[in-house]
Amino acid sequence: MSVSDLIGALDAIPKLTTVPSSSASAQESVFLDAPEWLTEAYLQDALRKYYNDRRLKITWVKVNPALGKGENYGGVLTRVKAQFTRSDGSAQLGHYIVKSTFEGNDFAQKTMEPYDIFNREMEIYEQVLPKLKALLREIGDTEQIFAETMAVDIENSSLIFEDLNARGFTMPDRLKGLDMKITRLVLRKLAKMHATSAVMNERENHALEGYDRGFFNRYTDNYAPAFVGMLQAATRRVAQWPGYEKYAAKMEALVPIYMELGKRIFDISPGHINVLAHGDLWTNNVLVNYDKETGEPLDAIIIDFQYTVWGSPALDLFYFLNTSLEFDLHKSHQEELIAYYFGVFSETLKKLQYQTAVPSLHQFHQQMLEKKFYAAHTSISVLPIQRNVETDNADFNALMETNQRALNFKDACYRNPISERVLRELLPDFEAEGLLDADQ
Amino acid sequence: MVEQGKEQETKDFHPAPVWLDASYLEPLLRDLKKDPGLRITGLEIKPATAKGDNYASVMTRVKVLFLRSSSKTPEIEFYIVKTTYENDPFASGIFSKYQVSTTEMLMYEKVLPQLSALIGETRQPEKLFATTLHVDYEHEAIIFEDLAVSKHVLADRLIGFDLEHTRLGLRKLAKMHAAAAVLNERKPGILTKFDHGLLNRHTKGFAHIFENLCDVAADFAATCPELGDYYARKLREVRKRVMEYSTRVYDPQPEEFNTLMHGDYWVNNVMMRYGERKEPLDMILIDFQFCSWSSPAVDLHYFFNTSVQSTIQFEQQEELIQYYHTVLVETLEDLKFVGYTPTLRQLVLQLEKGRFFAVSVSLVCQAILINDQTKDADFNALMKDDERGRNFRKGMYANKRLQENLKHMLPRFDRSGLLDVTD
Repeated sequence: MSVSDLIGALDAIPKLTTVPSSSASAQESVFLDAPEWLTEAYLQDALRKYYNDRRLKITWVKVNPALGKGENYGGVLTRVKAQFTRSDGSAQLGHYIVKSTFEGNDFAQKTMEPYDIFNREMEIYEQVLPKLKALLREIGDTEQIFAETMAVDIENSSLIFEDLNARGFTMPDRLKGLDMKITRLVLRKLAKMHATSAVMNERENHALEGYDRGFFNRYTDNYAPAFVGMLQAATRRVAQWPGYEKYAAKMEALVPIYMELGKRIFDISPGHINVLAHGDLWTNNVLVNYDKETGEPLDAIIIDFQYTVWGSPALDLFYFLNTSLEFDLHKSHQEELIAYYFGVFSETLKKLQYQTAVPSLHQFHQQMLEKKFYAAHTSISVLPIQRNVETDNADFNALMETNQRALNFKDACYRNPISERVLRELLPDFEAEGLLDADQ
Repeated sequence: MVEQGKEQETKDFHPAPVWLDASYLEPLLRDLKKDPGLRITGLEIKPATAKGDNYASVMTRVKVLFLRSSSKTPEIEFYIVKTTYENDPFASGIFSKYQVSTTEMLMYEKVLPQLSALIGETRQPEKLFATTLHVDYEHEAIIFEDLAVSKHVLADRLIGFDLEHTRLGLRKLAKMHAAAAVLNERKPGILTKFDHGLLNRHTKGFAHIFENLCDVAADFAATCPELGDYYARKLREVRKRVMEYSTRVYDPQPEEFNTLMHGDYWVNNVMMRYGERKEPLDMILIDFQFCSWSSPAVDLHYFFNTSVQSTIQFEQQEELIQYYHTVLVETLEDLKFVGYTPTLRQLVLQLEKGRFFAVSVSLVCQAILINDQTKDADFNALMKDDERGRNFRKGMYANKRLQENLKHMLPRFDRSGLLDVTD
């Protein structure tokens, strides 16, 4: 699970809200609970490299945690505000986020290790995303999809980004689903990211195909206790509802084959179009910029590339559409939204002169259908984590372990009325399509 | 002795075949009843197809009174004699390209009895077809039991099937499909040779019907506020490929599940038996002129887009396909089928692959089959590009039920990319 998922599950973290502009009189540097290597000299050096300006000079720096104290399980977010002068004498105020590892929870470290999330994220930000951006610029598209990377520091395992919060971007409320406007906005960004990644992979001799360690992969089952554990908690809940016995029975029968079914979704299917998938695309990994007057969503940025993986667009489409939407869109509008995504996806591929055959919309639809188990998995086992409101014992261990505390946490996820509604109304649809059958 | 029906009835009907008399029927009955001494004591022959009724079949009702050699009590049985009739050389010319007579004769003579025997071997045997008495290749005639006698009637095609009727129809279809898969497994080739369905690789005799109706659909879309020029343009493009794309659904794919399709599975090709409270008790399948070896997508998309009420078509197909699949698999298991049995998921994917056929059925077949203007309703009006034909086809699209259906289904088809012409 990504850092942000777990952050979300806790809900103890204050939402990133717009920072009120501070007075200009603060002239001293302040460092609050920062990683020890994060000094003024370090930051000045990073800024000089980024702006390619050796005479850039920091006037002052304010550094403080972006998260509340004590909530870190393998990741730390630090907010940096820096006032500096350029070689031409102009003054500038920069806002940044520093994302770094933290030697905290051993259990978490060990569990996450084979998923290699930190190295991957740094690699993606350093080597991949800038190329995807360049491809868009090639066709005159100036959209921003990702946060601008300021610096990648392999030695300290850290990344420095522009602080989107300072530009007015906020995280949507994870307890409410996204509406049609924001959903389409995100899908447009996603489509362009996917398309440029397919083109990059083609031009650079399959360079992206080595990313093969997503949530389900052929190397490790370390997250099985979370996924299968959630399925079992869901089954316990569903079995209590009159008329739902047959669904509970089918879910029970899925347990032995659940991880394998998940892996098949991540396997590359012959003849399918493949992309670099975000791997964990949900509300908490999207930042939105709203119009100050009308409240209308203007722009969206995608963040957190820890679970990036080469595979079917279904990995992102079904994950996003089955975790992050308003209920009505989740239940009845996915096909239409996929069609919208595909329009942008195929158009971008065409503009970039993608050489490999692009499926027709109906062929794409069929390819998605082959991966639709992931929609069932996400609705049943992932959404309830993300919408959980009982956050007292919500942490990585509760998700990954099988003791009483962990069982209690998972059961709590299914007491949530949103999760209940999703299961009640979607399980019959999934079952009717054979998505709960052990023999698929 | 032949009793004629009343004169004023017979003059509006196609006359009965001249060769149909007691001396013709007696040997057949002796054979059926295994009684060489059996004698026909009375015969009533009544034409059953009114002039202007549809295409190339003529039905005749036969009531036979006979005495077995060992008995003094006369018995009565009722049969239908179905013959081809050249009332319109244009129509019969087209239909003969589809080999409709040969197909149906082979089905009643060879195939249906064997399918019935197989279904008799299952855990829950039931009657699917009318019992064949005799098939006469020389006269191109089929004689089978008269289902009207056992109170079978047609349902209302203008209303369509509710849930109960639909499930019954799917249960019967699944058993036929399963038995056919098994029959061909036990006797390879016996059924795969049927390849003259409504869409096939031998003739495009019905192309004008399909293409003309796509054009009429486009005209309708252009004037419909909910649809408009966007759909009109798409439908005009679809028209160019409707025959090819539809025929592809019929082509059996080696890695998929294929079996014998009924080929024309809609409301008027099943006979219903109802109980006291008008509840559906049973259903018999009839009319096997367009059988072909193909994917179940053919019969299922045809059925769901011509014969069911809108709630079922719009919202309940998934669970009904699941039901069909359950019966199919159970029957295959009972009959110890060892060939490829699709999982539900695999069937769902197979049906999606063939879903363009749902589009053509919705635009073309549905329009014809739920048509409620009976004036000028004949084959020429469907096919010919004269004023009468154009007016008739335009009139078909004034049908409110059809319009409501397409207003709902066309956007859904479009979302799946089914209205896009890609090759």
